[in-house]
Amino acid sequence: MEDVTFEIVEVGDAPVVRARIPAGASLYADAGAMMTMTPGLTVESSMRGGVMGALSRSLLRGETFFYLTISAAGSAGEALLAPSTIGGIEMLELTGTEYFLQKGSFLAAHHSVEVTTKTQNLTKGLFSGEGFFVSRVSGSGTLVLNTFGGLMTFDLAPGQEYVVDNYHLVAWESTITYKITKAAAGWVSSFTSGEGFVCRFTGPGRIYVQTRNPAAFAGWLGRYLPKRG
Amino acid sequence: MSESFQAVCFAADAGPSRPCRIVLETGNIVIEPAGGAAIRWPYGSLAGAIGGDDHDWVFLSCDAVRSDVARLALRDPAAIAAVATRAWGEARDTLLGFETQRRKHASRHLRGLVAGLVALVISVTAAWLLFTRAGPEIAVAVLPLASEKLVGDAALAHLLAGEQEIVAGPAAEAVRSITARLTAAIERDPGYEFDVRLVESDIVNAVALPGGKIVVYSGLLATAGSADEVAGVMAHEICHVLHRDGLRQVISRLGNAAVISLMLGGGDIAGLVAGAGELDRLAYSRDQERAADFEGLALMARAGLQPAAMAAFFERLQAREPRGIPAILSTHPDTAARIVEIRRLAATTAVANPKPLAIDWAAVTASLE
Repeated sequence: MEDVTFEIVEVGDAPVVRARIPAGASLYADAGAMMTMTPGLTVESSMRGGVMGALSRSLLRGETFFYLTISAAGSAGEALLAPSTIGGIEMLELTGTEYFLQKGSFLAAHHSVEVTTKTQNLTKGLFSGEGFFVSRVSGSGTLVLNTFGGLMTFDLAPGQEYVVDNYHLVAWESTITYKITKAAAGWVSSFTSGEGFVCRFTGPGRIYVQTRNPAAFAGWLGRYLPKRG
Repeated sequence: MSESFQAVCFAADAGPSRPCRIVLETGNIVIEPAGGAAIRWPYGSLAGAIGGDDHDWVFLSCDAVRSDVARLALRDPAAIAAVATRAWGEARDTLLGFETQRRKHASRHLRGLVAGLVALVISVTAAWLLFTRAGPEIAVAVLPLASEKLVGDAALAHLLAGEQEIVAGPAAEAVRSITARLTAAIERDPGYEFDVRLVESDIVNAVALPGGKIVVYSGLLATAGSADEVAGVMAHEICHVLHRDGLRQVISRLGNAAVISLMLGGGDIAGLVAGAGELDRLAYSRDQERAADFEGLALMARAGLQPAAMAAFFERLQAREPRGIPAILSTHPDTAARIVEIRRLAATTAVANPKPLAIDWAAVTASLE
């Protein structure tokens, strides 16, 4: 059976995803992602993974309890999906490998893509900026990511190391190993540099990095928000 | 018979992972990358390593064959087992040990996470207890006198708000006279003048506030049988002030954020004190009460007053209990036991230079009716 196809539509600085859904097919997306759709499509919420899966997703990974399922029961249709953040959209094709995904990066996927929870160790949980739980994406098909700012990819050769600021990290292939290290040689320099801890990756595999730091942006925005009292 | 599995391969230069099919034929593992030519790696030339973020991948390489595939990544347990039966040497050991290594890693990961979380919970709890329990004690020990006075001023203003103060007449004079006698007998200079206020109220109580501030309610004078009995209560309260017990209580109620604000000398102290709750219901620990009793008795003796008057006043209050426990006792635990202890201590506290208070107590009580 023909499956859903995704296409990124550039609309100024705010891209969206056009999903073409053949008759009988469906996709799932982040709750609230649907922007427009053709009338023949149906929308319903789904827990996907059952109550435990939904609880794990919402409590551990800070994502939505319900997913949105858009189906073309009778005839084919088209839906436009928009992320809640300001930034880029990227399609990631899963072909036999797995990815780990930071919170809030999932926008939509084929039903053949599975999103489950991975527990990180204590050091990574505390200092990676991703928390103790990240999403494990496996299966096959297309996963649509949204990022804060633009998206860059880095392919690491076997044994090649690369350092990424923890808040710029979006996703990394499960073939990669990574550890948390100080940004600079000394503790003082690490923190006075504004970097603190960074993620040191070792290939082979791919890393997805967003070009803006949401935590830094929130801090910058906070200076302009009216204070209480 | 050859077997085939799905796998992932990586080039030597930085490039994306590519899906591939592997075929296990006699003597060679055949790698068929998507859209690329098949590559044959002899089983005898394989090297293996376990990797990936969860240690759930086996990476095979073959230096003996030059190709655009540098690493073959296997994750399917069936594929790993199948290659293990054909590989030799170190690669075979790696492949055979994969499942054990993966389980060990998962177990280590879980144990580390649980141990770390337990340690984290214990550390946070210990830090919280240290901060909440030891914090006020540290603050009391290091808070400058000027800050204590500011807290006392604010607490006094808060306590007197809406109250009718008695500033003249026999009762006010009596309180001033008792205060002068007792404070003159204090052995070390506290760094502030005692400021005792008399408030018109039926409440039988006196409150020790930080920085030398004491509030005496006229109900206490109306209940006392003599000026010495009032002096007993005031000596007790003065000792609470000298021990910074009131300050300790106020700080405990304010919380650590306010303490830090006080230490730094900033913030809205009046607002902070207003948030400390009912200042006339400061409850002290048994040890604080015992210390104030003991030193209060000694203070009375040095002031030339009979320490037994303190016990007499508490006995008088206890006798009134059917009419309701007076405020001063409701915040003072184990009244009966305390009275026995005060009696015992008073009997052994010698008054070297007795000097009764020259106060017309009948006139005082008459002025309060």
